[in-house]
Amino acid sequence: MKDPYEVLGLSRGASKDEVKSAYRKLAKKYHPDMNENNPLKDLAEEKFKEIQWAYDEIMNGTASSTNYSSGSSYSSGSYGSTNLFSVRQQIQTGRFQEALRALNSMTDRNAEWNYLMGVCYVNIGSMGQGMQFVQRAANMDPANTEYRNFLNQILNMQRSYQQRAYSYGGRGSSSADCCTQLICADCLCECLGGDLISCC
Amino acid sequence: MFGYVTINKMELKFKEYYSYRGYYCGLCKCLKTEYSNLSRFTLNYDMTFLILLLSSLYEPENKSYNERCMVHPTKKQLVIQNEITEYAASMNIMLSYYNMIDNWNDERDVKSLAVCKALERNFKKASLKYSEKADKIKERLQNISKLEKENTQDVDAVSNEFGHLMEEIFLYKRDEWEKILRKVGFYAGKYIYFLDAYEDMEKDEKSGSYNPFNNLEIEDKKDYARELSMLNLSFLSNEIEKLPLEQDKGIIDNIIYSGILNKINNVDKEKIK
Repeated sequence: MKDPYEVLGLSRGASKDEVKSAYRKLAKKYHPDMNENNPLKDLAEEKFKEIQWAYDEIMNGTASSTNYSSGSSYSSGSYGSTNLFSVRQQIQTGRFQEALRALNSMTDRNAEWNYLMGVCYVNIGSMGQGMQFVQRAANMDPANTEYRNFLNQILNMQRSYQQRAYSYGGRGSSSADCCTQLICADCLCECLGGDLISCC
Repeated sequence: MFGYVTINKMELKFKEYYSYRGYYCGLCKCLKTEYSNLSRFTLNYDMTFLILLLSSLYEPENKSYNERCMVHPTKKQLVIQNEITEYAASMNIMLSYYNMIDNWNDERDVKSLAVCKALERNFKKASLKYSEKADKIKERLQNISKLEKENTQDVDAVSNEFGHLMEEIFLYKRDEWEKILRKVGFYAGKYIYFLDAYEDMEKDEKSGSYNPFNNLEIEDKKDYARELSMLNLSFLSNEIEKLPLEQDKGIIDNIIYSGILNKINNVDKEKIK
């Protein structure tokens, strides 16, 4: 597989902004709309697809939202439940509603069950409920790194939003603004994060 | 329930503020030329954000000019329009129309009914042009109305419906950005629904109207409402940051990292009063 950074003409470790800017320049050059009368149209299109692939690869590599589930190292043997294994497969292929239906029909509601419920909920956009399930899973099985990683991933996202918002407010704004934003960062940690921090 | 996705004016550069105003005026002018003078009263900031975001992503050719208008009769205003302006104006009409119908059905608000009647022709035009969008908006609103009638406790389920509605509106084109744009729209929609409900908690409690947060069986409902809004915003910003946005990125950042939070803080202040 090609190096996505190389495709965009960048060196590894380029910032997100550099990636965006490089993508824009190349996409403009090779976009199918720009090359309708070009004899090398097919070549341009191929190049465009490659640029798009590289961009998606870099952007989704670090903070993937399409699937908030790692789970790649999972094997059915380690958990012993074939039902939950098939739910994992549904989750990995994005069939969250199906997975939820299967989960709801199960009676053995162990840590793994709670985790998978949470992953499904977060992925269908019900983050509030989802986080509660994953938290419960992490409480039931504190040694499990997968549950903890999942919680950390979301906590990091919240933190980075808070930090950006905080430093934005700090840009020449009144001290009252900074304070309210500090308080709101603090509240957030207490509500969802307070519990999260205890497990990491 | 609109107007929650807006700028923090004090933190914008002059240049950025004029651009933002330009898009806003462009939308207003477009409502007038494509629809009616009256439809301009439905103008809202959320749709200006839509124009800003989609224009930044697709960079269509802008038409800019200075013009006087009835709202600002003394000084000429910068007006910026592009192919997205017309789309956003049509979405604006459909959303407002359905929102008014909703107000009439829920609260028997006569003013809403009057606006509804006045907008009927405009609505027909918009929903004919974007029939697929109109159908989807209608379907989602029916789902919301059903859930609200059932007096659901499931805040996520009901806000997800509004999220899916906005998802359709943000999906300007089905191209390589479909996946991300859908999510941006979804989280923006959920945020709008949350904040609207959060703002109306006390009012709805008094009047006995449905409010998803009032229905929760937890101690600090306000706190929960606020946290959920904040959690949702971090998902929203996470998706927006995946788009290759350069043009007007300063304004978009201002909205996402400041303007939106100001709105939440203002609702908080109102509650303390």
